[in-house]
Amino acid sequence: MMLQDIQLICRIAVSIVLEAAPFLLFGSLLSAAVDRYADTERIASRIPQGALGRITVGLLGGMLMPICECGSVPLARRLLGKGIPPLSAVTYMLAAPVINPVVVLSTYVAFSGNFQMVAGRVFIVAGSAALTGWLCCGCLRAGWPADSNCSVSRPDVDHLHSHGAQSMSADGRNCRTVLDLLSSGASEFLEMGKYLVLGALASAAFKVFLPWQLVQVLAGSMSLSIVVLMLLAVLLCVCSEADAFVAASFVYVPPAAQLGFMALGAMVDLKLIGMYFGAFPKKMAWTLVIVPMVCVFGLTFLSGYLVR
Amino acid sequence: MKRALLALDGAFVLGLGLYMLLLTRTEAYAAFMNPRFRPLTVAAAVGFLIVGAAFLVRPAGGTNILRTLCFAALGMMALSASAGTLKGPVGFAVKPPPEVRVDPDPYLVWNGDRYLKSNPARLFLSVQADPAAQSDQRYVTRGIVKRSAQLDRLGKFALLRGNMVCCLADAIAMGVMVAGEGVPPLRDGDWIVVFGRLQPLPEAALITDLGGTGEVPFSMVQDRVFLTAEAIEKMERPRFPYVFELPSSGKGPPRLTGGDDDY
Repeated sequence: MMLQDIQLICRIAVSIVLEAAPFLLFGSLLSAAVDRYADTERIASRIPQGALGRITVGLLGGMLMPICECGSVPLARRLLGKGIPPLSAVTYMLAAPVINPVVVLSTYVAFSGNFQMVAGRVFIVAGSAALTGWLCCGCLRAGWPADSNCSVSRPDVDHLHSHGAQSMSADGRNCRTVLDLLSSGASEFLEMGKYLVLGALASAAFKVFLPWQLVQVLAGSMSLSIVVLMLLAVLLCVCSEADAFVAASFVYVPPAAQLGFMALGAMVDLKLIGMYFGAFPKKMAWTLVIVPMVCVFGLTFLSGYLVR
Repeated sequence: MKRALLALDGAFVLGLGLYMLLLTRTEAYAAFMNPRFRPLTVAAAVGFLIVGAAFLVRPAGGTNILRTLCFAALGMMALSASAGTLKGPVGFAVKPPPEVRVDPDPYLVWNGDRYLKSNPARLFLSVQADPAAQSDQRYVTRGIVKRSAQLDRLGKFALLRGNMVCCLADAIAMGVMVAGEGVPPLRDGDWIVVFGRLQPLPEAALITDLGGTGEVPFSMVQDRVFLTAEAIEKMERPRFPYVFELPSSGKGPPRLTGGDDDY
């Protein structure tokens, strides 16, 4: 391995972190805010009991509350820990990075107004997210594990100053509340951030050492090109806001393969795989990795006959 | 030990914020990210500085040696990546980008003829958008030379430019094949300026053995046209080796999307 390769790996890995860190921080702060302020019991009691209703809630949440894939993981973990039904929380987590207006618009622009590509991407992701959410319900039938690291991150009591809470003024309490919220957000970021760093490093190494010539040759047939571009989506860790432009650049592959790249990358990539295994029980993490892959392959393969 | 690790974690968050803030104030930012995301990075940097400070004052949660090591590794990677960038023409000197960007002339006059300035990635995208476009248009374009066995058999070489949509991770080197008489001896990685016209290839020639350019690990060359070179000149690596074209920019009017460094 040459020094130039190592530096390129470092630069790519740092660029992935620079790209994803703002969204992960946003999601972490949102997660901390949900933990402290949201009346999740009340929200959970208003979510419909039926599967269709819960899926609809997850999808509507994704449309109305845009968030990138890095930010959606800590938020979904918090929502699950606070009792939101897995079908809604997981559907939201997987679908939100794609079905929000910003990404829909970027897909529309990237494919020069090709509505079939936009609709194809939204339907494939929504369908895959709903099925994965439904299967994840089985993984969490016994409830959210008590020993999971979803426990609320509270500031250390050691750091409380000598003056007690009772003697503290209202301003002081407000200041401490804000400080606690920010600190919890930082803790959440650090917890998820380690998977971002590891994923970025792995992705950069793959990008530098992948035999790209082989990729171009394999991309010749439809089914192989779908598999190849899905593999690329997992390895490259491109943000869902930008992946439509990257997919549109792969001009040598059929539209179905481009759809596979855009649909899977927002749900499963190297950094997300690390986050899933860090944030959720193992069985659920495997479900989150495997089910979207199978769904996306099946649906994009079918769409290959519809979108040409 | 726990307090030391927590303090280290907080310092890493604070350090990430400082690094991002410093990077946005330098030209080196364009070697990592598309400059249009500069405001987002600044906002995030301020966010990291605030939450990092809050975490140092009142640390939350437990410690984890793996996460501390991961962020230490990130710090080392950032230093290594920046050191690599320092060697290039894009310096780490604190030099904020100009607030008002003056649109440069999209044409260059050479030997009495007008040449449209266009980078190889934009040429790639223009042909993709409209394969029959502007065969009588003269172009001047700058890029990196890439040779391969398939191209040698065609008597051509590829002229490429790393095109970044969002960050370096999604960058693809894009360009066109070049052919011409009296081409000076060129090696992989040479930076050149080419004056010429686009001509259609008799039949599409898919090139699958390109590999990377050193700046970007993955390359694509337009398979429907080639650039007939009227003149080729070697040049120094430019200040900004990357361009920031979107697929839609191939349909846009002839202008330089990122200033005079952009062709």
